[in-house]
Amino acid sequence: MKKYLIITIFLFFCGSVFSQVKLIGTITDNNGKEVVGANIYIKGTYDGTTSDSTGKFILRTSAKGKQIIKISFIGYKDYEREISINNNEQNFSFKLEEDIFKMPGVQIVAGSFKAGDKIKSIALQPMDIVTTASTAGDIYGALSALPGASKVGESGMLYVRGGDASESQTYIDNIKVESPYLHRLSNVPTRGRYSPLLFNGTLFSTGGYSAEFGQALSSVLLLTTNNMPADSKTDISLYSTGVGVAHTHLFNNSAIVATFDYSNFKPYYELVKQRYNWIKPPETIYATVGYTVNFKNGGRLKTLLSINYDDFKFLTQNGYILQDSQAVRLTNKNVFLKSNYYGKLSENSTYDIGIGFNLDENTFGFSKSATINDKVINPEFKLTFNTILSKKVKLRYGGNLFFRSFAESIDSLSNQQKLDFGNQTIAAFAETELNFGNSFAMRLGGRIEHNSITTPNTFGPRISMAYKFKESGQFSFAYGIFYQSPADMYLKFTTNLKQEVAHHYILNYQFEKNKRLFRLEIYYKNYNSLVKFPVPYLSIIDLTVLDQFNWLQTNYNNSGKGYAKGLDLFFRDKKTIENGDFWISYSFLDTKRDYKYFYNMATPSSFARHNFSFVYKQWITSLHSNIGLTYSFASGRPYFNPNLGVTQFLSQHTKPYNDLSLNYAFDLSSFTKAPITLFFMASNVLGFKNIFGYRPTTYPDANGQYILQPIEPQSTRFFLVALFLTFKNENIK
Amino acid sequence: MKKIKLVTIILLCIVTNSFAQYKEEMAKALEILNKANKKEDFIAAANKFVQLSQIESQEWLTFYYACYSYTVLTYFINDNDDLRDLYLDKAQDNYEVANKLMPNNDEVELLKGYILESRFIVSPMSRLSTGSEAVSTFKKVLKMNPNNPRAYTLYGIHIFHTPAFLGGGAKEALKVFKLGAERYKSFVPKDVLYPNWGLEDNDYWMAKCNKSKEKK
Repeated sequence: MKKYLIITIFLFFCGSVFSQVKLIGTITDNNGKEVVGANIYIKGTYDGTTSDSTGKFILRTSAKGKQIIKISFIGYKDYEREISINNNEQNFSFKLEEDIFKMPGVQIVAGSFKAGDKIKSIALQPMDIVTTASTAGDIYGALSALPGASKVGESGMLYVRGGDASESQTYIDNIKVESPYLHRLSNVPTRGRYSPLLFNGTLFSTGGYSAEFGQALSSVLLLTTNNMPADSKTDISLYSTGVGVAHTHLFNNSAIVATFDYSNFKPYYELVKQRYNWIKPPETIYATVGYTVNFKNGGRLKTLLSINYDDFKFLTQNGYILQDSQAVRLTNKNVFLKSNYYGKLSENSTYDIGIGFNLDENTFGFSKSATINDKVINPEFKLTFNTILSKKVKLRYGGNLFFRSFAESIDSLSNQQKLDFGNQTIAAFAETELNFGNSFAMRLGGRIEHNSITTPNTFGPRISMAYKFKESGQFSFAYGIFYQSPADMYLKFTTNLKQEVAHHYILNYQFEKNKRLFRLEIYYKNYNSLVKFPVPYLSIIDLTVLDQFNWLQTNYNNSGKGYAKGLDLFFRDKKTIENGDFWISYSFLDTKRDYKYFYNMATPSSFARHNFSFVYKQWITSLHSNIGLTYSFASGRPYFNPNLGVTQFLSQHTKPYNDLSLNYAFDLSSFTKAPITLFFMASNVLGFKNIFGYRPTTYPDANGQYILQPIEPQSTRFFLVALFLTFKNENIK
Repeated sequence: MKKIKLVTIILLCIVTNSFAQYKEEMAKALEILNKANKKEDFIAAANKFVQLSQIESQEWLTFYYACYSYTVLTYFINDNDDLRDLYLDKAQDNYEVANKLMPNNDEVELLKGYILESRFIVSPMSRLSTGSEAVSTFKKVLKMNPNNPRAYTLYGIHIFHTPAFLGGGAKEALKVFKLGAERYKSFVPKDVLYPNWGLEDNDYWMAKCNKSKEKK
């Protein structure tokens, strides 16, 4: 008897001779759709299975009595239920509930930006910029091929949705860059100071941007520097206008990146004829040092220092300023330093301490008859916190302190003048992101600012909301009030000015699938409190100079106003053509202003009604080459014809603008041992004769007519040839 | 005495039985994994390992293979980047447990690199820094164990997809795959359940490199 008992017990533990029972069922979600591949098992046992293509499952188990069955599937909340297992087959039906926090949900898009790298809207990667023809590696040049941006060829700066270049601000790691463009005088196009390869993200917001940023009536451009590089390496670039060296050194938990560039347009201008008369073509020296450290506690430090020296001299054209022609020289010294420390306060809370410092000094010399020296110093302190309050609520808040000092000294034969001012800004912002279910999200925020030099203190609310359809894209809406201090050239004369203000209303629809993106955005911007000053019609002073040097000290006030409304369309396809990527961008813009010296509401001369770009890039494997093509079109731009009456102010238009640019990159590394790339770029290959506007002569001729001189590009075409080499300092053996 | 003997026998039975069952279940699960060639198969494999890991919560291999299955399956999803990231999150959770149970292990560390590489592949242009981190991890694994053949395979795949002017391309990748091929020949896993994958992948990629050389 005992033996049998022992054997039975033995078998009981060792054998799998029990009766297995079948549990059958179906798994669906809360819409009744079957869930394929769900994980179903009995807790504490080895018995489990996976639901098939119809959501059905068959689970065989030898467990008995009260058991807990558990079901899980990605994107859904885990499901557990107590069941009673006996010897009979049982049927079940389980419903899974979506997990809000985990399911890829809706993201705010309208005009505003999104955090993180899941950016589906207008974000350009560094290689996008470098490979877009017509940009020659300039960030702002690439952005002008995107919707919302107007092509202002003679300037090279960013004009967004009817807003001047000064209405768009650039940030590096959320620290403001006071002077992102190299300084050029009117009608000599400029470019950004920073190479796109310094950054791993470029986010361009055409309006309705976050409460974290202020002092920009139109848009912000957010650049994020790279984190940690993978290797130590040295990059050398040789190009038709200069040389550059960059060295990356990787330590255990830190890295240093140092770059040095020297560019001189003299040899190039001697080869390719220019319309402008250069006495000294632009010479630029540029160096940066970046330092990144990852700390053991999870914190990170990112520091960037950039130093820039830029110098040129040219002969101005007839009818410019007071004399017929004079030599103008501009020397620029620029220092930008920023440092960010990212730290963790707790599991759900992080912070970012930022320090910025800008120094920008410009010396303008006019044929030794006058010298103007401008110096701007701008330190910034910033503190930002990020907290995840719950699954549905995220909070971001912080504040900054800006100190801005502007000092100008004018030294002419007849006059010596000093103008300066200082402005202290204290700002605070808070923004919360709320998620309701998987289809609706909302961002609410506000920014308060106090500027010592203007009134009043401002409060700018920001609201945006987005609704996501299941399979057909998403809809978003954004509204905000944006403030900006008047330009330096006004503030240096008076402290009685107010903040300029713009209200943005933006509606957006976006759909992305299979590497194709479609985006439609409609907007309305209302401007108020813009700086305005009375100027008698047809005063002797040249209007373009008025914009820049401001010889008249007139009564500045904030009575200016304006509007901008329009539509932006964008379509990008990275899939249809193998190894190819193209985008089409169209913008319609209707904008009028009555500001500065304007005599009535008119469209400013920078803006065309229609802007169109087609950008195409193709990698050809067999030829080891990358080809890029950009076609841009803009309808005619308004210009001022003083021969007509004041009611016809800015009523005439230039002919439309066309440009077809090509670039070609050839990968030599298949023939050589080291990675070498040869690069060619030519803008306006078809030689369109573009005219950006007309400038009237300063004085009327014998018949009382002002002659209109066309403002043309420096040269019909721009060519660039470059060679890029990379030497890596580490290899696996 | 007899009672103690009985109890001991019974206890031994339980222990060896459960260990035998663990091995048996693992073997079954590994069979599903080794036969897998589409997304649904890898999901089924991942599910099996998750089921095992909830009952064998001290066995690092259950978490290791769950992580591996989730990672590999993302390569079969072409139209939903967010879903890929969600699966990689699941892979990451499993990696973390495996790492706690088996710290400073080159195979586990390699999984970390595999997850980083997979995240990078989701959106290479906007995740360049993640790609860099993946490479750093592969190098760390090779420092820990220069004979780990899988590290060469994963590193080689990354190099293959890196543009030539940044130091990548088929030619450079082939060098690494060749080093891996030698290591596969001499590799012997500590146990039949220990990671032993990658040879097929290595052969496949080596062939691809050779083909692209001929395409010139």
